Amino acid sequence: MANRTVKDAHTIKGTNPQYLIEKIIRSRIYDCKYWKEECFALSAELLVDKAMELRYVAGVYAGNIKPSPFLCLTLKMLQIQPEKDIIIEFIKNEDFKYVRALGAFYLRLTGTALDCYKYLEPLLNDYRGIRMQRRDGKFELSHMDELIDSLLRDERVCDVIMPRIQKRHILEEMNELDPRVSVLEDDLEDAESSSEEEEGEAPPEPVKPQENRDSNREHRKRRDRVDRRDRDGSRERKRRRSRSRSRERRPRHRSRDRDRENSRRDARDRSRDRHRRDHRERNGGGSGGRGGNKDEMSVDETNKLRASLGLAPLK
Amino acid sequence: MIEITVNDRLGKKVRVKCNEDDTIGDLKKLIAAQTGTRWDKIVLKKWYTIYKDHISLEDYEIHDGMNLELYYQ
Repeated sequence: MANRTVKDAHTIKGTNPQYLIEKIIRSRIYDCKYWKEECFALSAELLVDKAMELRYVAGVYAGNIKPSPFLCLTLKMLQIQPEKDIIIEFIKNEDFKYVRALGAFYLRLTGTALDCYKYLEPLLNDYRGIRMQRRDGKFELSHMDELIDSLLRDERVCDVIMPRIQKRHILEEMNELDPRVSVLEDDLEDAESSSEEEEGEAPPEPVKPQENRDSNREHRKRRDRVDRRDRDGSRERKRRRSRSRSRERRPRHRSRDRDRENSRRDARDRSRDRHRRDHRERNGGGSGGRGGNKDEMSVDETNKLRASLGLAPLK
Repeated sequence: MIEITVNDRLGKKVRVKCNEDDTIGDLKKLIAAQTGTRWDKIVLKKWYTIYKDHISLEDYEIHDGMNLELYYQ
């Protein structure tokens, strides 16, 4: 009863808005004390009061997946679906950092790409510190602009998968957004000009990118030509076929011995398949299905995986 | 080097080779590479004991051939 989305809510990404948070985490939120005590029958106004009491930004923590109040309030907002004006107010307010963070998080989950860039980029100028709780329960110091940056770039923030938004340059090309002007633009120009004076070497920079472009184009052309060559399978078939339409070239039915040709073809196919199968077993048998479902990995494969994860090899 | 079996009772049964001094977090990453889920979505349990990420297998007294239960979060 208390966990159903409000009746006249719009669907987000084609589905119930609460489903933006994954099933297991959603169930954990419904079962937790904060949700049952504090988030019962909340409306938009009461939600503001609860949001003002927030003290840190977090997802789930601890081994038994305890959800944080921040996450519970996000789910509550997804459930009651406040209007866009209210969310913009959350984001615009200057006094309460965590209300701002909550509004930004909700907007990133439910808003269009244009909305996200339009409303979240001004928040990149907010350099205040915020408290974040890690997965193991310990707190660390982060900043508001770091949080907004991770909202715009990362796939998962606070244990919630972020919906896909278009990249900024695509929206710029479609003229829906102006190119981003950073507040630090003047500072960056000053820093560049002072470092140029020190080194005294400005010219090399503009020349290099062009050179690379031309050589890449040639390399790409060469590679395409090589790739278009047919691989093993069709080479034999191609040898036999001739594209000429003249009568002399076309096979004469009278002198064809079809049985002999068929048996020769079968023998060739059989030997080719056997050859291919042997090769595949030798190369791919030991490492087939790596990365997908694999029951057991050999010591070498495990060591390779460990090296890629940054762990010491097996002893 | 020890080999641990991890089973989620729904069809995923995986054998992982690791060192005794690896942490549970490292073990989860190895399991994630073999099963295809994300490592932070994995919960390793034995009955109701949840194994924590920062403790080593040695300290949990997990030896060669032990079975762990694989759950998801």
